[in-house]
Amino acid sequence: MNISYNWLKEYIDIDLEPEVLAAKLTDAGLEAVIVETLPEFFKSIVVGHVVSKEKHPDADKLSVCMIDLGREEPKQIICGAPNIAAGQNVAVATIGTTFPDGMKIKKAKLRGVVSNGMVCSERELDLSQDHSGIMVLDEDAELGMDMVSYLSGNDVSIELDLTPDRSDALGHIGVARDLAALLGLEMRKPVFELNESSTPTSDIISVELEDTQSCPRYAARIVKNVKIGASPVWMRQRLQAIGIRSINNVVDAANYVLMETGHPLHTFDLRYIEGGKIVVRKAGDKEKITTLDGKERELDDSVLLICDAKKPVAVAGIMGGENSEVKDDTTDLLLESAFFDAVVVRRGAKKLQLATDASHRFERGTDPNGIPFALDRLASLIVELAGGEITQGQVDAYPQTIEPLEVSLRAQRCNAILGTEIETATISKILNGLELFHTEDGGVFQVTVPTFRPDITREIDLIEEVGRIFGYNSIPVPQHFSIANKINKKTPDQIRERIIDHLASIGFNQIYGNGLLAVDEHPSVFGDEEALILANPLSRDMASMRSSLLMGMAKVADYNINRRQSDLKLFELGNVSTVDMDSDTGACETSHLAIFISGELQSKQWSQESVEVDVFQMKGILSSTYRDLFGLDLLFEPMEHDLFTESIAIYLGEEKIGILGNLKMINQNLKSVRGVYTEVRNSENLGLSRNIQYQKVSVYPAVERDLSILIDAIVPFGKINETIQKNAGKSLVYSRLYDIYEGKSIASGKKSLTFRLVFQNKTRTLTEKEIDKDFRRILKGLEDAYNATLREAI
Amino acid sequence: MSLFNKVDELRSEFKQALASSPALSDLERMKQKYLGRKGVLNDLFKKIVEVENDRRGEFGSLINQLKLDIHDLIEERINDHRTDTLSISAVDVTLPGVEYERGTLHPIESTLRDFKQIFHRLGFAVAEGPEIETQWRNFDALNFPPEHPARDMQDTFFLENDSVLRTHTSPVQVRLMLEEKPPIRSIMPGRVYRNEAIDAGHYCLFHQVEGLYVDKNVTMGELKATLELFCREYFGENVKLRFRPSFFPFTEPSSEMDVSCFLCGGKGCRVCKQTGWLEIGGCGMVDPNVFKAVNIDSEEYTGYAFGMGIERIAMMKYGITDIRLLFENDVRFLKQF
Repeated sequence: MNISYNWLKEYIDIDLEPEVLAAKLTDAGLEAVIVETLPEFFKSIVVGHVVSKEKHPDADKLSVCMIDLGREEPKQIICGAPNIAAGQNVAVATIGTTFPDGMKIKKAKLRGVVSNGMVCSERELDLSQDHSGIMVLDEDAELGMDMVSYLSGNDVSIELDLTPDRSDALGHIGVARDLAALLGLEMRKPVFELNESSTPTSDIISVELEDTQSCPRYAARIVKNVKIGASPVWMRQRLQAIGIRSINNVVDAANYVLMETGHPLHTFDLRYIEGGKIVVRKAGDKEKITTLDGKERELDDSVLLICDAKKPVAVAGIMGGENSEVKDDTTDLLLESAFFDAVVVRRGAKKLQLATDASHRFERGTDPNGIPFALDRLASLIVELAGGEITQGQVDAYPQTIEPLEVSLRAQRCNAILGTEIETATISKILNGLELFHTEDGGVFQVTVPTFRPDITREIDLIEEVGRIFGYNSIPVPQHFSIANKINKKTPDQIRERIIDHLASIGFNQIYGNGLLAVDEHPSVFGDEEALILANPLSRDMASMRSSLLMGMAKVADYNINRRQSDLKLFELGNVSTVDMDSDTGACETSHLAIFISGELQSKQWSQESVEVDVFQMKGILSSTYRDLFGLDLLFEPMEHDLFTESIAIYLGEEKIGILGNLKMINQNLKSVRGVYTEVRNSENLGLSRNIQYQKVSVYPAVERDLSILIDAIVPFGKINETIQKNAGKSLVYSRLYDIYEGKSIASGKKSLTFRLVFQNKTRTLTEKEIDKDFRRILKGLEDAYNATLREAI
Repeated sequence: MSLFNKVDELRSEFKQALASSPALSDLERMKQKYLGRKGVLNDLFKKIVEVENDRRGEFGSLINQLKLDIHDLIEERINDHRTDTLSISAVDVTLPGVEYERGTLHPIESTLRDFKQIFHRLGFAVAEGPEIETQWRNFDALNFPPEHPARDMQDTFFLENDSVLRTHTSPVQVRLMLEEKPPIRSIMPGRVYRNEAIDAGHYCLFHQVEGLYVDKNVTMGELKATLELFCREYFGENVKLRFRPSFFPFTEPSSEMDVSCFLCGGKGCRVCKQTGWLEIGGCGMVDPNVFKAVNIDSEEYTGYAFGMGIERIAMMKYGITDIRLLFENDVRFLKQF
């Protein structure tokens, strides 16, 4: 909402610079910035006085004018408008002016006569649709003044970004009230005359409320014999300053009172109100109304209607109907000032997908007891601008008076919450400034909260008001504060941090993927996932929650590979979710770790060869991460998987926690993505159980022996290793596969494996004989189980 | 002269030549002369047929031994020359070192880490909760009345089952207060979602860190002190803080917090849009209605809560002007952090 600096001065005597005023308002919670409401090019359009007007020698419709721009000699300007006349003040676009459509004013010859500018119509300045002639300005307008100053009356426009609780500040009076409290000044409400005719309003119109819950109050007035016309300059300047376009004197008056009081008002053309009656009722199912914007709208019973005896004439609190609109030939008006329930207006506005200045205010809560004032103010203003007579009295349907709330406030509590030592007298002064009138006894205030502050219902709300006006920035900062003697429950974030740090330290780049995917982007990674679908997605591409990290990772890989970044080492640690009927959210969320490698794991350097990625690299990364960080050994089992070649299932003990493999093509859009992928569920209690106990280092020598065997090629390494470990005895402290060979000099169907075995004892030096015995036992185990044979010790 | 004597002669001839400090080129020539395919030793060897049968083996090994000796001695001298005259090129230490490529934390992660570290020092634990929440925990328990315009402040994604993607990490506060008795002093980092059109300044998801302290005698002054300490640590000793009254359903009083622009120091620049201030988050005192929803007596306990957007602050800190860069994960972007 925009407010005008000059307009504010009608209600409070402020002499602060607009910038300082905006800062004060911001500090009090009404976020304010100074804005320009008029376009920049208005600065080169100035007030000129038509000194003389001659007919153009060669063109019937053109006039040659001499126009005084308040500086130097009068300029010769050619004008084609029929209404231009000597003695007028007009808006002149000077040479160099560039209009928004790109048209530039230059010195030009029109049929042989020089023209030094252009006289503008209202439409050319986008001020109205009027293009019948040039815009005639005020007689006493200052020559040479630019249109920004002329139209705004040298005003400054301030934009307020209000929080939804502050409905009271949605008008100039409300803002002035806050300023009065802040600056310790008096706020003046507008004073106006109200001359009524002897005809009682109730003879002309009656009001019937069918649903007093939705409409607790409806007041109406009649103004007869008005003359619709243009508003005077002062009114146009006021509205201009806050960015509202002038329509006519009656509509402008209603907008003015809205922006003054914050209370929405509506004007009907009385001749279209049938049966002398206003009925406020819920719409019927599929009932229709054409609103002021010319759109026919189908309604249901969530919408409240203003009707006459026969038909709906407005959607309550949102927008008037076309059928009762004020037109140029309107003479008699019905004025509405009413209070509608916030939720009803909100539902209606949502249903119609229509947000108006009126609905914005009703949704946030208006003042039921401010209705008569706003109505009288409007009637008075209309007569001032458009003439006419106000009939006697308001017709005010208000069956159940809404009383102000009584709320108590303890000064001690106020200081306890804010951490302040504000005196009782100061609190009292602050409350009075906000019209929160009260009694006080022993530091306890009984506050009568006016109905224009629907946001204040509790002690804590009053405490905020005191804090707000006292100033949050004035609340002292204590030199010490307490920390509770208790440590709250730990969460697994430390475990995740360790994994992230480890992977980053060995060369991986962490990614944060978008967790929203298209509904068909959930390839079955774990086999059991059912994705959660959004009811109101932003787009088809982001209509479900990720059930695995794979698609997000693949998209990132694709993005990078398409940009010639194909050696990738990426990881993500994030939540995935699947349908779970047993949870109160209907979702099961788990933390997953995904790693993707592609291209070269290590690039070629002058002293070392490049290393291409493969599943064994990934296996090593994963198993060393778990072993080094958490002391846990992962188990890897071959499996079949649609998404991978060389698929591996990953187990932690008995529990299958993940998959690993060489990615096949996921889909046509991600053709470029080839690499090795793994995804594991991040077990939440990793690491917390790790208990490191120091093991004494043996002082006795370790003896190395190499074991080289020939064995059937189909026997998996895992089984061979198992057999070695089973038969090893206590002295084998280390074994490592360091060569594997098939081919020349090896019988077909066989392979040769070479292990480095290290034997050591903690308490004594092992003898050759003992080592030989262990070595033979290991070999025998392999011979018995797989018919292996010793190749030769190397 | 027997062929055996010839071997001895060649050996002493070679020794003499070596004693005369031959240059590198002389050494290469000597190598050719004695050891080359057409060298003198090979020539001599060919005469093995002239040796009587039973001494041929002896003759062969004698020549072989001389070959080896000459080879070793020449190589030794050549090496001496290299270290003397080519000491730089022997090992070119200006060759690049063998580097281990480091990985990177995502800028959201590293910003979050900085936050956590500071709040850890101020005695805050870390609490977390799920991204999918009930409407009760995301709104109702946090004093968002049904059909209140406040619910419009946060455009919400709904699931088909009526759960929501949390619009803030505040439901973790609700969980925490239901699970534990005060005192509670935790920060709550996590991913949140907003149903907003995506542009340079907005994304459909982002990350927050919220903080909560519930205990006896917790005041707004203490909230200011905590946030001031945080800001001085994170933004630097000279940062100024500004608190502006605001509205959040779950706090009362509520405040926005601004810090003086770190780029211009408050004079006004492009980053702070000429205001001198940067908005970093919201805060306030826990609303009594929230305490009521989680069965904490608001007369006995008071509390403060605050929340900050991680992306927003990361973007300010690293000079990132488009939030989408954070979720594109271009490695050329990631490797800068």
